[in-house]
Amino acid sequence: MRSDLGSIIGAIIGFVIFIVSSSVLYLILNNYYKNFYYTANSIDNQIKNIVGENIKFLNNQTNYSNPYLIIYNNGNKALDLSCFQLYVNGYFSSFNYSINYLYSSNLLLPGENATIYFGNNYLVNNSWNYIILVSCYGVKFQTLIYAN
Amino acid sequence: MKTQFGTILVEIILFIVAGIAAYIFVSTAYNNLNGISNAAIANSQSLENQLNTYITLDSCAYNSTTNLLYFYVTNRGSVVLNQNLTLLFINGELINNTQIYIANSYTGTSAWGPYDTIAIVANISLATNFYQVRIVASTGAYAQDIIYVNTTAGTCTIE
Repeated sequence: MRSDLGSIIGAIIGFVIFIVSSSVLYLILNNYYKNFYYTANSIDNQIKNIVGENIKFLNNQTNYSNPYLIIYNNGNKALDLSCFQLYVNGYFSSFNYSINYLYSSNLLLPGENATIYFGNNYLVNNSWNYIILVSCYGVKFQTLIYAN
Repeated sequence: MKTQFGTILVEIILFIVAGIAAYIFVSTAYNNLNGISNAAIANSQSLENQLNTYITLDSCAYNSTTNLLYFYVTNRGSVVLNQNLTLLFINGELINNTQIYIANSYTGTSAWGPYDTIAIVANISLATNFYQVRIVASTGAYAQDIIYVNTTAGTCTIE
């Protein structure tokens, strides 16, 4: 009788301590696990945005006084040219664009082409020039263009 | 009777001691857990800012006449950054004399918001070589690339 009572009380206390310890461990691990889940999710979203963007440069020559680029969307994503960046020989250059719409929207849709008009501040006359066009998600499209 | 009474007393004492020990353990664990939980929350908030910061080094240019090295960095995350707190490291060394300005404002504000591009201009004399460049935003997130500078041709390209 005495030893039974002692065993029962010991078991109850042991059980309580076990429940408390496992709850503490669960709460600590759960918080850290959420951080890793969030990291993996945000990386996954970034990759999904980048895949599928592609453009083709249709001209490799332009006049020096009013230079332009003709681009064609041959990817499978709509491109928002308003948040693109243009770099001429490494230097940032602002630009205007006009899209040859096949479907009326404000985006350059797959299969459509657009003309990009930019200044000649950083363009080198009678020479090949290095052009970088960067999409909203950071995908870089590069080409060389001859200005004369 | 006496021995039984003595045994019951011992058991009661033991039970009380066990109860006190359990209470001490639970209250200590609870206090520690609170502290750990607060630290984890603070860590995850700063981590969230870092995760929502995404900057890319788009282009670089080198003017060998003026010894000016240009870096164009675009904010592609969702956090508005303070461009003046951006740090530039070349081959691990912090470059102090830099000028930072907004090259293109998509948001139309004077801050470095999503899709805004800043220019970091460093007054530095370089030899034709590869350099490791790291640009660190104010939240701690960074963009790192290798660049090739050709001082004869006056060009800089990102590898």
